[in-house]
Amino acid sequence: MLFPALLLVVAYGFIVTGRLNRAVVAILAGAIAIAAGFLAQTDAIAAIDFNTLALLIGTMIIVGITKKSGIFGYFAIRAAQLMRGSPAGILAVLSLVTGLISAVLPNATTVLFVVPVTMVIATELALPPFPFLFAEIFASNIGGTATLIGDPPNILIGSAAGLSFDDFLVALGPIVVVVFVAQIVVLHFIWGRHLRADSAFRANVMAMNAAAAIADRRLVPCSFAVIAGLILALVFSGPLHLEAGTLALLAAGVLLMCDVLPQKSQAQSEAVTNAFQEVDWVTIFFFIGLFVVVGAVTRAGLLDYLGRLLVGATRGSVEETALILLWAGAILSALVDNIPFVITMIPMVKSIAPSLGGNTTVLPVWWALALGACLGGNGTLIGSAANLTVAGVAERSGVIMDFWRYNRTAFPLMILTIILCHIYVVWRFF
Amino acid sequence: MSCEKIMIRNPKSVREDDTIGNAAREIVDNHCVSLPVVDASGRFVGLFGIFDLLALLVPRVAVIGNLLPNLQFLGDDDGLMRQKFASLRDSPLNRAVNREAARVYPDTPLIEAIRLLCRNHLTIPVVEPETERLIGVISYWDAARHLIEPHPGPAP
Repeated sequence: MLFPALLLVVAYGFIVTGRLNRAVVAILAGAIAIAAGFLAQTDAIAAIDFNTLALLIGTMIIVGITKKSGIFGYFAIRAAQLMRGSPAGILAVLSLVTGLISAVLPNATTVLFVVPVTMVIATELALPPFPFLFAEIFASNIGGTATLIGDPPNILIGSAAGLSFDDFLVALGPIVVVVFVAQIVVLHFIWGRHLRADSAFRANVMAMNAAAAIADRRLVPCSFAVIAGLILALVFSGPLHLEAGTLALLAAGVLLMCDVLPQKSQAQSEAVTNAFQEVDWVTIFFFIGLFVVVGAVTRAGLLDYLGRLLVGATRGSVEETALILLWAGAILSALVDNIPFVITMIPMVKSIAPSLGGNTTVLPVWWALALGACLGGNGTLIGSAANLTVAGVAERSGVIMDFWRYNRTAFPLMILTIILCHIYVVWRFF
Repeated sequence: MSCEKIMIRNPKSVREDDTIGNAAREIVDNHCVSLPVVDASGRFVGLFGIFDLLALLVPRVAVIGNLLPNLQFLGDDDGLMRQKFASLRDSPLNRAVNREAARVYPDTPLIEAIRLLCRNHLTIPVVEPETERLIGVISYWDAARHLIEPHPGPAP
C-alpha cells in the first residue's frame, strides 16, 4: 500500500507546484504504476473511465465547431445592449450568459465564447476588463455545477455513481440559482456600482452590430439543434439505455457531419483536423493518467483504508461525511485542482457507501462532493480549468490576471458560496 | 550560399526608445514590411512592422488565435481607429516591438533564410553572432531578386 500511496503523493506534489505539466505528471505516474506492477495493464485500462472521456471529447468537439459560428458572441453583444451599455448591468448580464452556456456545455471551453467579446466590450467602454473576467470565471464554475455536463467533476461523479442529467439538475439546480444570485449581488457591491462609462463609450456598445458577429450562419441552426438534441437525449438517457459519453460522441459526430458535408474531401479533412484540435488533449491525458494511478491505490486498498477512517471519524453519519467532503472538496479544489481530488474521492465514496447504508443513502455525499469540487474551483486562479483558460486568454491579450489580486476577492467569495451550500445540503437532504 | 552574400548592409532601423509615431512614419514612407529595432549600442532587440502597427489599432484579443471569428460587429468607423492611433503616437516603441522575431547570422545558409521568410512573412535581421549587433537585413524581395536574376556563371 505504501508505494502506490507514495506515487500518488509525489504526483499530487508535482501537480500542486506546477513544476511539470499536469498531463506529463499523470502519464508518467500512470506508466510507473503499471511498470512497477501496482496493477496489470488490463486492470489499468479497466480503471480508465471511457464514459467520462467520451463525454468530454464529444462536448469539446461540439464547442469547437459551435465557436466558429460566432453565435455566442451575438448573445453576449445583445445582452450588453439590453443593459443599454451600463457597466454594472453588463457585468451581471454577461455573468448570466456565461452561467447559462456553462450549464449546457463544459465550462472550461465555453468561457472562450464569452471572454473575447467581453474584452472587446470592456475596451469599448474604456473600462478595465478584470471585474468582468472575474465575474465570468465565477459564473462559469457556478453554472457548470448545475448539470451533469457542465463541469468535469460532475461528469466524473455522474459517470461513477450512475447519476443522470436530470438528477443533477433537480438536486443541484436550486442551490446553483441561489449561489449565482448571491455572487451577482456581492460583485455588484465590490465592482459593479463603481464602474462608470462615459455616454460616448456606452454609445460605442449600443452601435455594435450583433448580427455581424455571426460568422457562419449555416452552422447556427445545426449547432443549436445538436446541443438541444444532446440535452434532451441526456435527460432521457435512462429510457434510451445509453450512456452520456455515447450520446455526446453521437452528437459530436452529427455536428461534424453538418460542418463538413458541403465541403470537398480535401477541405473536409482539414475541417475535421481543426475540430479535433479543439479537444483539450492535455486534460484528456491528465484524466487517463490519474485514472490509472487512482486505480493502483484503490487496488492497494489505500482508499478503502482512508474510507474506513472517514466512516470511523463520522461514526457512520452520512450528514457529517457529506459536510466533510463539501468543505474538504472546496478547500482542496481551490488549492490543487478539482479533477485529481474528485478522481481520488470517487473510489473512496464508493467503498464507504455500504457502511453508510447503501447507494441511495449515500447520494447526499455525491452532491456535497460535486458542490465542493465545482464551487471550490472558484477559490483561486488555479482552482479549475475555466479559471486558467480565462487567465491565459487575458494574458495573451495584454491583461494580467494577477494571482493574488484574484485570490484576495475570490477565496472569501468562494467560502460564502460554500456556506450557502452547507445550509442547503443540511436543509435539503437531511 | 550564405545570408551574408545577399543581405542589405547598414539597413534602416529604429531605436527602441523612439516613439510609435516615428516608427510608423518610417514604415509607411518607406513601404517597409518591418523595421529592425535596436538599442543604444546597436544591438538587435526585435522587429516593428506594418502588422504590429495595424494590430495596435484593433482589440488584441481579436488578433491572437481564433478566439473571435470576426470584428465586423464593431462597425466601420475609421475615426475611432485614427483616434486610437493619435493616442498611441507618442508612446514608446518598446511596448510594441516583436521581441520573438527570428534572426540569422551572416553564415546562415540562404535556404534557412528562405524558410523563415516563407513561414513568418517578415524581413529577417542579420546579426553578429557574439554581440547580436544588427549588421544587415534580408527582405523577400532581396531573396527573390537574387534567385531569379541570371547567374553570372564561371568565367570563360
